[in-house]
Amino acid sequence: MLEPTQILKLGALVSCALSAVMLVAWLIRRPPLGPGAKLWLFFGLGPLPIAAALMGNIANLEVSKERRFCDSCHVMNPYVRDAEDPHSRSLASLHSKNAWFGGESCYVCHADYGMFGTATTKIGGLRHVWDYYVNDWSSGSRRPELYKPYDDHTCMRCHPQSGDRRPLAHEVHSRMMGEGKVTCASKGCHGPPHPAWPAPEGSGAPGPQAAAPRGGEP
Amino acid sequence: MSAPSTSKMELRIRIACVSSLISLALMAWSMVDSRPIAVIIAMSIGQALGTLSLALFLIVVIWDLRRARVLAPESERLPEPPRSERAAGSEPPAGS
Repeated sequence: MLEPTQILKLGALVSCALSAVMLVAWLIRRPPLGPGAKLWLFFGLGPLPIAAALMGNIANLEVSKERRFCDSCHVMNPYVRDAEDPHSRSLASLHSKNAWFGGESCYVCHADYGMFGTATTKIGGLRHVWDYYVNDWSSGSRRPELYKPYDDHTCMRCHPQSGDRRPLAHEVHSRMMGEGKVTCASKGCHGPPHPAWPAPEGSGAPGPQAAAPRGGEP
Repeated sequence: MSAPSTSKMELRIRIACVSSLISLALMAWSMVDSRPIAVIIAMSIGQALGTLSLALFLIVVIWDLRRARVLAPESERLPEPPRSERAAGSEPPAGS
């Protein structure tokens, strides 16, 4: 049974193939520009490529939510290895074991909320890609970092803090959370979310600490 | 703006076809190899090329329609008859 994403990809590929056949046929035969040829070209240049683009965009957006997509950038490998480690006790690993969204755990925990959440998340991802290609990451001392503080509301989507069932520790730390001094994922609370960044080979120095109080965590 | 000759229009359509084939190849690449760089290129360069090729084709169609006087510009249309001639016989005589 094909998954919806695979069906969309297949549809996009079929549209691409049909359109390519129509265009190549016109380029080889080059008939006079009569009404029939114009209609032929219109379908080859209009509806079929548009259908391919629409289905392809949806499929690509869905694929880009998967953890293996994040893993295709090698700077993310240490995080993904930890998330997939069945013995790890990091927050990322615990959430990656979830049967409902484990395969998309990177996206679920790092996506922005709201109507344009997907778009702003993808724009943030593009910024990471741009940064990766224009700056030197080869030394291994650099690590992916968030561009803005991690929003605790992301945790509260699944772990709501409603009145009576709110733990005492959350009551005590609510003011500090409001001031941005601690987050859900801070070390000592529920963090660290990810393991310490591996130290550059041969440096002899330990890597940066895993959990910064606010921001800085991928 | 005068309409280009048939050979120029065909050249533009050939450019649109080749551009569209490149965009289709980029989109197909992202379908079979879902790495970030393939997805980014397909969703930016690929779709920009596809949009440009369709726009180029539509421009050629509009030029062709104008050449065939289906969509002739205002200056090339036949002048309309004066209002007095058009209305003669249909308006009531003055003072009635």
